[in-house]
Amino acid sequence: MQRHFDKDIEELKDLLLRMGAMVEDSIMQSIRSLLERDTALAQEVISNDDRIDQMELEIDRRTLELIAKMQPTAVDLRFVATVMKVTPELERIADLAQDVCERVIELNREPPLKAMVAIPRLAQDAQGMVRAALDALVRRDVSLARSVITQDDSVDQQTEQSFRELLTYLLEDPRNISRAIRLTFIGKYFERMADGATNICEMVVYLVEGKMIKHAYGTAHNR
Amino acid sequence: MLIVLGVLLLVGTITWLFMRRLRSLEAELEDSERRRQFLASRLEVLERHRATDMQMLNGLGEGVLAVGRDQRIAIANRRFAELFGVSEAVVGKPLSEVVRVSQIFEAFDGALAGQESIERFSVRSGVVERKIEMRALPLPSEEIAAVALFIDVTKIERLEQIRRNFISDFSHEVRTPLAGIRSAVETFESGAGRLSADDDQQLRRIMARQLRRLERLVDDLSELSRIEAGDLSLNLRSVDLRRIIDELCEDFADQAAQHRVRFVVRGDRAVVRADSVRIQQAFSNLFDNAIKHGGDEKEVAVEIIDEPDAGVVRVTDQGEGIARSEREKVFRRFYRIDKSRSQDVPGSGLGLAIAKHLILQHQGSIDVESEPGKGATFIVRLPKSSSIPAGHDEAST
Repeated sequence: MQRHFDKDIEELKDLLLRMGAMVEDSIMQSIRSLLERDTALAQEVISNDDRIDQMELEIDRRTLELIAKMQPTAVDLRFVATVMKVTPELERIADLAQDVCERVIELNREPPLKAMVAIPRLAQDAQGMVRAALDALVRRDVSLARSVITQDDSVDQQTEQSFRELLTYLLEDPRNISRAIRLTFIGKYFERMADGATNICEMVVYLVEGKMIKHAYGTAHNR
Repeated sequence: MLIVLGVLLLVGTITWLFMRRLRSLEAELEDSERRRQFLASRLEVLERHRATDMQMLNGLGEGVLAVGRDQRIAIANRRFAELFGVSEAVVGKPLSEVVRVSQIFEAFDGALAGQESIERFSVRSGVVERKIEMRALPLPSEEIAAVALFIDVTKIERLEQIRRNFISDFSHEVRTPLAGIRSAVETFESGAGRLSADDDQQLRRIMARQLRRLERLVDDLSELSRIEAGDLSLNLRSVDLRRIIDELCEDFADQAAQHRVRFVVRGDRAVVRADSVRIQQAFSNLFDNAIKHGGDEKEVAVEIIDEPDAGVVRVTDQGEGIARSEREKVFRRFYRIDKSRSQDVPGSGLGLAIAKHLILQHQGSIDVESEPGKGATFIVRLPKSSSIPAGHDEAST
């Protein structure tokens, strides 16, 4: 009985990590489509989102089945709870990557705005946080998870900074307005991906230590 | 008496039986000991084979990863661990815990279903992004059900890119003079016998000029490829950089006068070990560049500095300067900072590349400093003694 249970848990973990890989691909491609103005790639990301949604449904189904059949307790219960919290977080991050791509397609219909200011850096930081969050989950690495959580502040600051810079473009020339606004959106999407990574990391701490640090960890580290 | 005899017989029989059993047990023990030794030695051989196999795998330039039917890692070599930034102790772990790349999952899913595949994707470990080609194939075993090779193709892809760029740059450079010649020839053909003497003269001049341009392009290119191939023997002597520069200023007097450019030379003797012809060629390309890009009626300052172990020459123009992002690129073949100006400024676009390679051949260095809008300074540093093989040193001072 126990062995069968372990196998189910392992398969669930495998599915979750595969979903993580797909989400990381989407982020990477969304950044590339933005930097290289590649509309075709942006469209590919958008059409791939269906597969990620399917994956989410599959993981949900398996999780519920596992709870119903095995009635997990203690560590196993914490693991199942983590999967149930992390899956929608990943799905949301993938949706944000899709949103980035939609804005990219719109941006590519106009000539490029002179500089994208702080956005490439912001995008890379957010991507790095999502990757580190998944690494922390695989390795059950609490210290890595906590370091990702502290990075969130710097991403928030970068978003604010890129917003201010884009604001000057807006004020400078009315022809910049639509593009600057779209880029502001894009900045916000990446910031929210970083938020998603932070939420995943909070679940890693819960998984390993059994502690919920979500709202008690100090106001500075929460949204 | 009979009873005693009977008991003795019984004891004797029992003892005999017991001894026989003991002996057969001993024989069995010996046998199994022999078998144990045989198995142990076989195991040792297998272990040794495995260790050599693993050593061989670790020596490979390609990453190797094999998984069992349960998608757990069976074999991972050192190169694989390097490429993906994971520790080598991954054997036994599920694949998805070791790498998180969709293409790898899909390729192994395929291989476990009996399909071979080749894919290219990029992975990032730390700050390095690598392009990887993965070849996956199925194997007929439970423990090792699929194996994949990972080849780092980053460099190959970059070379392919360079080759493509070179071809497109080259054809661009060739097209302009060709177009000039073609239109001149067409004018000749369509206006045969009806052209005025002036027009005729002008068309001939255009053709001659464009032909010269083509010639120079081809000459520069073959020169550059010769230097790059290291197919160049240096005739090393003690050379005074001041004298080289003074001579060059005389050679450039006409060209400088045309553009009303003034050369200002400062500094004393600085004697280095160099091939005077090659060094002259390098500086002549720098002078040419300074006149073309410095702007008319400006000054080109040349400073010679005698350092303890090197002679340094700084060539400063008063042109538009070079942005930080362009500084590395000016030494590339066919590179032009402002593509739209390529028609105004004549030249093959190879001068600086040639200068750089000539100076590198002397084990010297060339750098550029610039403040955009205020001109650029090219700094050449040539060592006073070099470790260039003696075979190249044909003459003495």
